[in-house]
Amino acid sequence: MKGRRLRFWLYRWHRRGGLAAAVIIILVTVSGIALNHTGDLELDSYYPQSSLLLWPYESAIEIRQGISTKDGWLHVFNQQVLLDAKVLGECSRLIGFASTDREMLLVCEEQWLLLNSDWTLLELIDPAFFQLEHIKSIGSGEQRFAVQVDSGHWYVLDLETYSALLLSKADFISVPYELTSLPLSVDSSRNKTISWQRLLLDMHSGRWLGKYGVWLVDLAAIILLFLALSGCWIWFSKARKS
Amino acid sequence: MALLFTLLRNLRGLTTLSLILFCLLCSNLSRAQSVYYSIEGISAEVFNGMSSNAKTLWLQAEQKQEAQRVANIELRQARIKYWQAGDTCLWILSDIGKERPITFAVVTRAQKIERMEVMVFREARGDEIRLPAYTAQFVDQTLTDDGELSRHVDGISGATYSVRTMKRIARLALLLDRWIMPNNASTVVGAE
Repeated sequence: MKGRRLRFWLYRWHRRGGLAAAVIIILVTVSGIALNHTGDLELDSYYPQSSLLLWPYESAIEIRQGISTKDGWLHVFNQQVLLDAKVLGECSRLIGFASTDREMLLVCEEQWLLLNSDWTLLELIDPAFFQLEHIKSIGSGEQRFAVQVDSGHWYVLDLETYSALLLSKADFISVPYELTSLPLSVDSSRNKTISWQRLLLDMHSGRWLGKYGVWLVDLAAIILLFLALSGCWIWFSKARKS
Repeated sequence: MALLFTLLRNLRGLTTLSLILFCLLCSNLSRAQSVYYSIEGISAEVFNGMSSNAKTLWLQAEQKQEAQRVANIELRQARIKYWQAGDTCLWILSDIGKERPITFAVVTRAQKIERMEVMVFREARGDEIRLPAYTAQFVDQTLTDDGELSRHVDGISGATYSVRTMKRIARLALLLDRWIMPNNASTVVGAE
């Protein structure tokens, strides 16, 4: 009678335990099988790009920045500044962008690009001639471009004489364009750090699930052990009875 | 013996200090930028009180192709600004050295280079090209029919990329000077 009750209890918790640990066991099993074939699958040579898969690594992956305009995203790739996929010119680091009715100014670290309203590159300007240290932002107002330096002062730019004039009042300057993280639609291959191998290893150990992921996988392992033992018990006690 | 220990201790300190200074120097070199001339400064020297006009050369597609062929420079921009007084023209031109842009001032007259100076240098090494003894090699250079400089320009060990850039810019400036001369506007150099 006692054995029957124990078998019934084990049977009930075997079902419950199996269901509770199913998701983790499937994850660990699939990742384990894939890791067993790392060499054949070249898991260390390929990099996942899904933001869902990469959520634990956001701080480790370099998030490229760009500027959203009405015609697309401005961003730097391979030392070139692009409007979505169209190359505009050379640029090591994008600092800012501003536009007036007729012209647009793209400020890069070592070169400024003056463009017309249909994104044709008009002129390349060497920023060194303006003698401005550490440009923080760029804006426009009254059909002129202005830049703000680290000290907070605004300078209006004269692109004819390559000079900058300190503004005492900058309330007419507006800064509508700001650097923000590029969306995945533009920056489709941003991850070159976390390989599939690393991702699957972290999934397998539970680290991918965050702080308590390892404990969760440990718990799933204990449940799996319980399933094995309870399964054996149910099988052999039934066989003994018959 | 005590003297030897003191010497060794000082040497260790000196080595550490040298290493720290070397690291600081390297970190600074990676972002170094030297401005040797401003536009006002070079204009004042070149035109020597004569009034110069800021002008704009609008580039045609064929001219861009020719610049690519002769000077090996891809001109993406639609126009180039220059300053002119009489026959003398001042061109401010930039191109990448090894990794960063170098900006030059080239003074041309009657399709000859009168003067060439480095205005802004950003590379970690190779700024020997700005020395007067070196820039003097570019004076009186002209463009041959093959699109080469008329005289040999010596190289500098350790400044290979900067030297190449300077030669490219010299060829480009002579080409631009040719384009703004009304009689030679349609001349094609080095066409195959």
